[in-house]
Amino acid sequence: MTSTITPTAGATAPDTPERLRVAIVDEYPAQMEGVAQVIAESSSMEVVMTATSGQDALAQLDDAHPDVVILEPWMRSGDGLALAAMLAREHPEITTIALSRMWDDAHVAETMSAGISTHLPKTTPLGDLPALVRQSALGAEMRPAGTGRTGGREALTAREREVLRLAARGMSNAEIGHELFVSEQTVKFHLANTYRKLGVHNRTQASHEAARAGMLG
Amino acid sequence: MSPQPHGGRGHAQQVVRVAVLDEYPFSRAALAAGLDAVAGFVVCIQASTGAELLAHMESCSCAVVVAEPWLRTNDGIDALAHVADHRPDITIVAFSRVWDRERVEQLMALGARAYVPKTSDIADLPGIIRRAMDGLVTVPHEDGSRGRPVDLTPREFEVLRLAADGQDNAEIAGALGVAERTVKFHLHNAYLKLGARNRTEAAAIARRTGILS
Repeated sequence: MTSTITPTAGATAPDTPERLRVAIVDEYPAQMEGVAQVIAESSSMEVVMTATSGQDALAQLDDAHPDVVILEPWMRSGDGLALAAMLAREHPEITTIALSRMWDDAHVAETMSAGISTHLPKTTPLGDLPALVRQSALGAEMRPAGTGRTGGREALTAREREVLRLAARGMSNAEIGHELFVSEQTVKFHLANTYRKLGVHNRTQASHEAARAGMLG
Repeated sequence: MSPQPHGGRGHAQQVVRVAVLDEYPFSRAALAAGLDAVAGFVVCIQASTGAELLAHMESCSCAVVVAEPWLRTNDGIDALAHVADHRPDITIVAFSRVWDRERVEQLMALGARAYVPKTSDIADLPGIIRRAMDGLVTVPHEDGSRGRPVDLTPREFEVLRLAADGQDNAEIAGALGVAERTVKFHLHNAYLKLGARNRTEAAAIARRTGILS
């Protein structure tokens, strides 16, 4: 038995969601092309504008009316950060994403204070970008693990620093406990908190990160 | 800090072993199937309670836990906290039907790396997970509305306004001349757009973000 389904008068097909309009601002053509290609390959977004400086971006912005701007805040033209601040201030409807070569605390904090809420390092695999762009357009905020919403990092306590210093010297948890007159359990507890604050997973990463940030003194 | 080389496509990655925690069999299965289908991901644990998750983890190693933290058994948070405290090598990602500020902060404080609303496309999860493993924190916008100007349809707005005024679904239906199930439909969509769990929360968010005066 066959049945036919006829659309009722006035019914319309479900809306196909419009593709997200993406602008890319970066001074390096190779970088730009890599990002543009992976965006274009995604069925849910399209590149509507590319610019090599803040000024260039501003000139095209009104005509292109992007939904998302992916920008490098630290360009030699010097106006990347200003563009980011302007977009955050005057175009809150645009999702602005910093895709940056500078990923240390100080630089991320500066782009945060310019009003950007999604920060991605330039080491981000291109294949992951569309998902991150889409999530950001829906309101997700992204930043380096260990940093807060304004870029500050929760400081290590004195005890955590002590434990980390000894761990960085190659001591085991048992040895550290012995040295500091605390249980191994307590050592593990301090280390776990330290990893969380530093945004790392293990003691090797923690030592590197702490050394880089100048935390070990 | 010296300029970093640009990340490539990221193809040559180790297989990521994932544990999935969700009390609803259907959503758990959908999540597990969705992740398992992605190249580079293997779902090795499926659990419906916090206790089950921890029990499975004794015998099965994983690098990532994707969890609905808010379970009727009330042991989701404790289990995740246990994982965070004892297994800092594991990345915790919350995939949840609620994402108000307090709950998000609670998860991030215990050590989760990402908090993803369940309204998200599952296709976005693998990227979020990989970046989380690499040190990227992902959270919803602070006020729970997901940050972008909320685009309620006129009908959704009208229903929300009356609900915020204290009218129940039957009263709203009467006022607007529609069926009660239509009212529920519009309200549900409004909740999703606002990131709210119920009419009280929806009203609060709507007032806070200026949608309702």
